[in-house]
Amino acid sequence: MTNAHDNRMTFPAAHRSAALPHDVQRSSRAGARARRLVVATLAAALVALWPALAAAQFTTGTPISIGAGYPLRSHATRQLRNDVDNTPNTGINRADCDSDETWSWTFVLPPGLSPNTLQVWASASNTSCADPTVRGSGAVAATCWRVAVFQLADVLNGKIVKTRSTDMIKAAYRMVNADDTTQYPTPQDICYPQGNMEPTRFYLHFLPFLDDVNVVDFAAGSGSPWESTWDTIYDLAGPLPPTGITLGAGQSILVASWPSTANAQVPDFVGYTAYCFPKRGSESDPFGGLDAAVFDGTTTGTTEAGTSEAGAVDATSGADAADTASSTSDTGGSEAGPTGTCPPTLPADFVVNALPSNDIAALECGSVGSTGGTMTISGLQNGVSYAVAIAGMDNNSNSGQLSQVVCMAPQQTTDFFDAYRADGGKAGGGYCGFGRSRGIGALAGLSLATAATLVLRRRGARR
Amino acid sequence: MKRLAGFSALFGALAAAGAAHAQTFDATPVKDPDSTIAVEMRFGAYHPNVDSEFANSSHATPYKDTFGGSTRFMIGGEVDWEFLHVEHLGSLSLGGWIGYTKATGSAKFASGPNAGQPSAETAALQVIPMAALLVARLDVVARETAFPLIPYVKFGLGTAWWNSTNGSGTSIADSDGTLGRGHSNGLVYTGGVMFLLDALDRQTAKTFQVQQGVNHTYLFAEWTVTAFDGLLQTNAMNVGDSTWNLGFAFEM
Repeated sequence: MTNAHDNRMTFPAAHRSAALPHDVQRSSRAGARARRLVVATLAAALVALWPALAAAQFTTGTPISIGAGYPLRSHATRQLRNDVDNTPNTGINRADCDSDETWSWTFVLPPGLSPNTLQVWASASNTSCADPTVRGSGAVAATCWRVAVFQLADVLNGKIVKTRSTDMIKAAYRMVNADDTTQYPTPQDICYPQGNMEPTRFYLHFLPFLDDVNVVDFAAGSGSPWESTWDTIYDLAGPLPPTGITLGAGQSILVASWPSTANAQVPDFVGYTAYCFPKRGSESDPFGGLDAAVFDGTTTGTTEAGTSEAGAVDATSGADAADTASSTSDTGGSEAGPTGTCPPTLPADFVVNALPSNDIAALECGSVGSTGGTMTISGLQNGVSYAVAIAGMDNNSNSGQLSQVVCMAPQQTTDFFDAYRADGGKAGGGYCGFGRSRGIGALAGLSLATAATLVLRRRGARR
Repeated sequence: MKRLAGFSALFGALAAAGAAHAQTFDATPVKDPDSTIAVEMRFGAYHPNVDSEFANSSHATPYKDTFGGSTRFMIGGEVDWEFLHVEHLGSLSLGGWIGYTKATGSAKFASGPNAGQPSAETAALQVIPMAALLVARLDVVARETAFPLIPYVKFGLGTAWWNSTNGSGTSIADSDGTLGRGHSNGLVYTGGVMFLLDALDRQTAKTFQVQQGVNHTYLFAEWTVTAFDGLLQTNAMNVGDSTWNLGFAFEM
């Protein structure tokens, strides 16, 4: 169990029992060799059992402590742990995992505790990981998976050791030992779940091991292992995108609307973000400034041709793209979406269900901080067709998958003031404008009334 | 006429309510400590007379074309300071009033196949009128008769800030880049009557006075003419109106 105030780990109550092996057998007079054999056996037993005997010298309940100020994480803007699952920017998010962020630890071992290794295991609960039958991979009823193994020499005297976010997530979420290279070998495999994910609490268990299997008991033979836990959360996926999006045009704006039912019950939901292609201000050079490897503007690459065809913007039957390079390129164009004409070429990963890459993130053009089904995207150019996709965002900075791509071009409009001026109205120009005097008669009347009031009041005061 | 009928019905209902409470209706003339401050909250329909500017010329109706003919409402507040009280007659007060109303509609497509059709862009006109008022209340009726009514008139000078907005913020005229906001000066005239709610429940009124310092509470109805059509100005937008208001007033 952990003390919430100072990160100290405390020792749970002991519950299991075990026998201390201390047989001694007196040798017969008959054999000096037998006596020597016994002595040798005794010595071997003593060597083998020394760690357990040493453990028996602990003061019961002395915890393994985390060094003051630790753990430290390399992503300094994010918090470590919280007591409420939905505290923003806490624990491990997808970016932490994908970037393989590391957490630094130091440990203070109680006097006399000298395990072979100090191991870190992860589980979804605070239930003990000391029993080898619950430790995976391969365990029948596995509830704990290994994150890291530290040799004793690496943790003594306040030395710093590190755990990787990918290892913690691989163990806690993917439920695979982190050092198992046969499963989930890359961060892409580990850190990208499908669909939405809400903040999920997980526990790190710190266990001193005698060998590869057995955890050191806090009192030799007590059957109660040394074990401490420390918990935080992971949240690797953002909210689902809205569906049924329609676009409406205005002057230099597009208004996106959708049924405001999605994500209404998602506790970590923060808002929606819209992405527009071409990027605002770059309408004349849509692919300028974007990652050339992804958005090179040509349509002969397999990336552009493949993904954009497979996305919601079905290119197989749309208007032919402007390029004439190859048949593949010709089919890599875009056709009109449900509400307007799309740009002839879209970035490869600007498709439904894709996660916004860094290049897509650069196309952000609007946001709304609620599930409410409307968003106004401003600063656009009239007459330019924009492709728009919307993704949800949670309070751990996880962006969800992109929505369907919809397209529309803003158009010039006439608002009230345009109509007023066009009809001959002359007013406007600001709050502080003044003109020549008019209505002097009424003003004179008001002045007289004011003067009369003051006279009346003065007479009343004299009485 | 509909409005007049409506408010007549309202006062009829109030009178009936008073009659229903006849056994608790206290006809004792009002005797109270001096009340120097009155706070009013009002609510009523408001339709800026913008289109009247073109009545004698092009007959254009830009306000109606953009916002339609549906009723919009204004909320407002007023604080009056009674500086003179004449026994057996009434009081004079100086007051300040401010209100807010907003009309929204759709900007229209300017060209193309959808020209003239509503777009997805919201167009709005906000009006914030304010005025300094001289208020005359004839409280002798409520003080010295059994009728808890106080007729009053108000007269003052005011101005109304207005702001036209679209999907990108304050409007800027496409024709010449003029900013779509300004102010319009004018005179304010009001005539109305206040109904003293204390008469319905004197005990509650006394408790209200002791605990909150409110000497009297009123329900009022009034007819207001806000002639914000450009007094001392040229080229002002007429954002005034003539309309009924209802509200509550508290004297302290």
